[in-house]
Amino acid sequence: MSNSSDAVPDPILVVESVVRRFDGLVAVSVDHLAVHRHTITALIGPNGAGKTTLFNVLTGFDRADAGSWKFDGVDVSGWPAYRLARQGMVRTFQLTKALAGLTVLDNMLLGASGQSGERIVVAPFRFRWRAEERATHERALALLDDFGLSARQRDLAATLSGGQRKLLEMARALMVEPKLVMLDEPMAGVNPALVQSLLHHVQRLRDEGRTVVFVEHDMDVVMSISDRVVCMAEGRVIADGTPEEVVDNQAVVDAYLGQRHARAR
Amino acid sequence: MPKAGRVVVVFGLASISALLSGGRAHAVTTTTTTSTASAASIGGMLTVDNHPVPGVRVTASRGAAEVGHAVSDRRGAWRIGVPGPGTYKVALDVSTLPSGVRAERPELAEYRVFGSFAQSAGFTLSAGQSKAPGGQSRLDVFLNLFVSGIRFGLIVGLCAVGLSLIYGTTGLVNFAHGELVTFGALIAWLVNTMSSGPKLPLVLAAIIGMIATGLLGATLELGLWRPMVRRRSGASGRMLVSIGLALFLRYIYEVIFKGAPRSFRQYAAPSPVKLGPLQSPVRDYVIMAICLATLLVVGTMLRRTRLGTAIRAVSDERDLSSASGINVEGVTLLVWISGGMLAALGGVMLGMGSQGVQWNMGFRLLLTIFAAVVLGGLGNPYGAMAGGLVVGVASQVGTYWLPSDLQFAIALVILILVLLARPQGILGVRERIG
Amino acid sequence: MNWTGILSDGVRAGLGINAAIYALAAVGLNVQFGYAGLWNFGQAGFLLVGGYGTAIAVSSWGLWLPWAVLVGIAASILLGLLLGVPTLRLRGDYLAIVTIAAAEILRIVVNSTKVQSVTGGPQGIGGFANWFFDHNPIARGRYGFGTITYDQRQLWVTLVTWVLVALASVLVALLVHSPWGRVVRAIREDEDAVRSLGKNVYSYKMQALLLGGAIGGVAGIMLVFDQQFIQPDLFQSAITFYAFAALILGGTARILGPILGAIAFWFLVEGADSFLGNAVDHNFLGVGHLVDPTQIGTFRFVLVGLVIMLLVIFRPQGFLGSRQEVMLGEQ
Repeated sequence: MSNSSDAVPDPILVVESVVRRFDGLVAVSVDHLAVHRHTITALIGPNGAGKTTLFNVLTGFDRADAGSWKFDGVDVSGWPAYRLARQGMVRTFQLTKALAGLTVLDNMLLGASGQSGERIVVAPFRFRWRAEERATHERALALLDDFGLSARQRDLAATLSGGQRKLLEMARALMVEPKLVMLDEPMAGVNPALVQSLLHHVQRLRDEGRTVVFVEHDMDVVMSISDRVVCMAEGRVIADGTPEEVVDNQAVVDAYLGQRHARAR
Repeated sequence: MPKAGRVVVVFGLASISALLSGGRAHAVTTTTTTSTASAASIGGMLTVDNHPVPGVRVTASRGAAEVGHAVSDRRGAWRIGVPGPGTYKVALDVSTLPSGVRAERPELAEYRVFGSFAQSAGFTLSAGQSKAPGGQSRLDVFLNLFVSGIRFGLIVGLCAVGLSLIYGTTGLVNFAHGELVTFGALIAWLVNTMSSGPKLPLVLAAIIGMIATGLLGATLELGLWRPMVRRRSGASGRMLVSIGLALFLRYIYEVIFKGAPRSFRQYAAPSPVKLGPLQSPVRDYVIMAICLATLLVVGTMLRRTRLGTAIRAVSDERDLSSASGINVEGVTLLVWISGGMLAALGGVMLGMGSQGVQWNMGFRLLLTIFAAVVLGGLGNPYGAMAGGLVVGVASQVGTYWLPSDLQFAIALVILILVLLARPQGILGVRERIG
Repeated sequence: MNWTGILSDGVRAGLGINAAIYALAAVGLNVQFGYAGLWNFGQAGFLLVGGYGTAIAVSSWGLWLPWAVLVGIAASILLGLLLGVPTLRLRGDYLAIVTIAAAEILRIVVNSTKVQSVTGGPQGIGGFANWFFDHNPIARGRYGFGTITYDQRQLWVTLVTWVLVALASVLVALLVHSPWGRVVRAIREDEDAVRSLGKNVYSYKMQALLLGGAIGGVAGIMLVFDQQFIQPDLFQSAITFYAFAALILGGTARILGPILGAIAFWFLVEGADSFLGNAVDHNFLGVGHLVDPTQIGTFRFVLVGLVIMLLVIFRPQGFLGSRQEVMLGEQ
């Protein structure tokens, strides 16, 4: 356990009254939510609680019907996904989106922001971006090394295992140099041997000074590494606190139990 | 029609004669040296206010020598074979024009033929000063256009439902759907008119055409699409295959049935009946009734029957449906059969109209069908019906203001405008934005 | 049967102006479809506006031809903007339908009597490319080898078009092997992933659409230069499908794919035409009884349709492609 939850509250992400409806059904209705800098915040809740929808809305992959949110002091409500990423809020996906037809290295290089060779007027002139590309290359190799993927750099991402793709996606997100990393179920479908390695990487992100929010529905995983836990049910935040506070919260217990009951029926 | 009964009209109707040439435009002759006979020809349609003008003599000449002539047929169509590329003089014999009709420019002095294919030449005919044929008022013209728009829209709707269902259940944008439309009409025409054939009445012939097209749909699904899906071909690969299939089938039709439009033995040239301001033959009302009834039956079946529910389930969530015990492949097969039958019915109905049955009739309709399907929201069968009506009415009524050679363009412009405003279509549900 | 005649007809077409024009159109499609995964089914429309833009700039505004060519290219870029703005945020199917619809609208509109004074309607416009042929440096005569010869006019327009194909291909090669190309190829794989990394996907898709459209516009300009004439019937939607066939034949997302594909495509098409013509004349294998000589042109379409189907089903990667990097297969 880390003690950084004792740090002075300094929210990097503040959500106010965000609502998302689908065909009249309220999928998300969050009155207030703050994510503090340099912490790991877990977003938990039973299936259908609206965690991924909230994620999609906040990261610009879905639109909100109402509400606003601030990232790093800037009102970013309704910004398109790419601008949010450039601002420093980068996400991963529940179903990994490793770009299967690109090599592992190309996946990484793609992540780097502000490459001048990505501008169509500069791109044909290799000498204009060669040096920059070399630097990006080095950064990518260092990260791949960290994540144990450097041996696979020339392979197509399609050839990686499920867990390796999760690692690649996380490493690729870091190429953007985000302040806030939003991980959507990073442990889902990962073989148990790799889970520890993934958790270790998540903790390292925080220790390097980044902020992490991750969606998870397995309580045990959450307890071990999170500084704060936010629990959602039926689109609302029903509990928000330290792991210990949340696990004892009656509403949380009910939400999970309720689901278990529903499943039993 | 606009301005003091002056009826601006037609021409080499772009969508007909141009497509007659079927894209051979770029078979550039400078590089071919084969000794085959030239297939160059000049042709067009003579109409006034959408009424064909038959019996007009058109001549083509080079220098002083006449190279060919033709007389416009019942549909107003004429075509003259010419020896090959070069500049010709194409002229209308004004003395053969019906009284009250005159040609704005009866002579095209330098008409250039530049390949071995069917080209179109336009003559603008206008009706005399006083009144359009039948002495209709402007409101009457509008109403009649509206009604013929509904008829056309219902036919488009029939074809569009099948396309939409196929898209919904299989994810395939089927570019060969027009060829199903043509197939139904051609089979019905064969059974109805072929001299060595049974010469069945049109009603029976239409049913046989529908059955045959349903079988064609089933054959394609079993022999082509299902194996491709099993081999995990992507939707894009199948879309390209459907383009190849469309070319393949369409030009086989042309080889077998040749270029000219044909008509059924019955109901070919009925006389219009006056019903208030409306002037349509009884046939047109029957067509509308059949289309409407069919659409209602299909709509009800989709809502009320187990099969309909299964089809809608597969449309929504193919994988989930499979997991919940629905026979997805069986449902897909049925959708191909019923989509084929609906297309065939649409084809027969279309073939009963003034354009007749022709090898490329379905292809000419394809983009209009696409417009209907997209307007209604891709994969939504009810939307496709509504989209068909909108496109049909708009393209007909639009000719009240615009020259009728732009009719087809009107439908497509509407499509693009609607996409701008409501990408999910008229009835579609808004998807998440990217 | 005149087998050498058939072969040389095929080779002449494979190296000829049509192959070059289609290679150019297919290079454009390769940028859009092969690399960026955009379904442009309206390439014929880009050729049309390129051609008409140039022809009208000369015939109506009296511009000097080189300026008129720039007008044509600008017109095809403008068309790309008009089509891209509403559709590039939507699913790919929409772009496919809207582009083919737009190509047809354009063809109908330039054919219309309403604009006859500008476009010439069905009769078209002629004689606008005199400047181009006046500057032909090649002396009068026939050039070539064996039975495959071209006169100075054909040779000039064909050479210029092949040079343009080479230039366009070099540009595309430089682009796709740059970070720009990496982003575009990634978009083909998964837009959302690229978006999540801070790339403006919409803008890249637009750039690919415009670049491919501009190359298509140049193809249209060379098409009407070759004809010295422009007419709506030149721009049937079949052009788009031919170009797709050529691209798939050669291999999508390969620099040389569209070029080899266009050469092979025209070799096959004209070779087959010539073969059928010969077979009818000599009643080879009884073909004379089966095939009506006026229908030989029709058989080419049957053949093209069959080739497209068989290729996509059995060899979606074409001559050059690798199975792994092809978007026609598994997704």
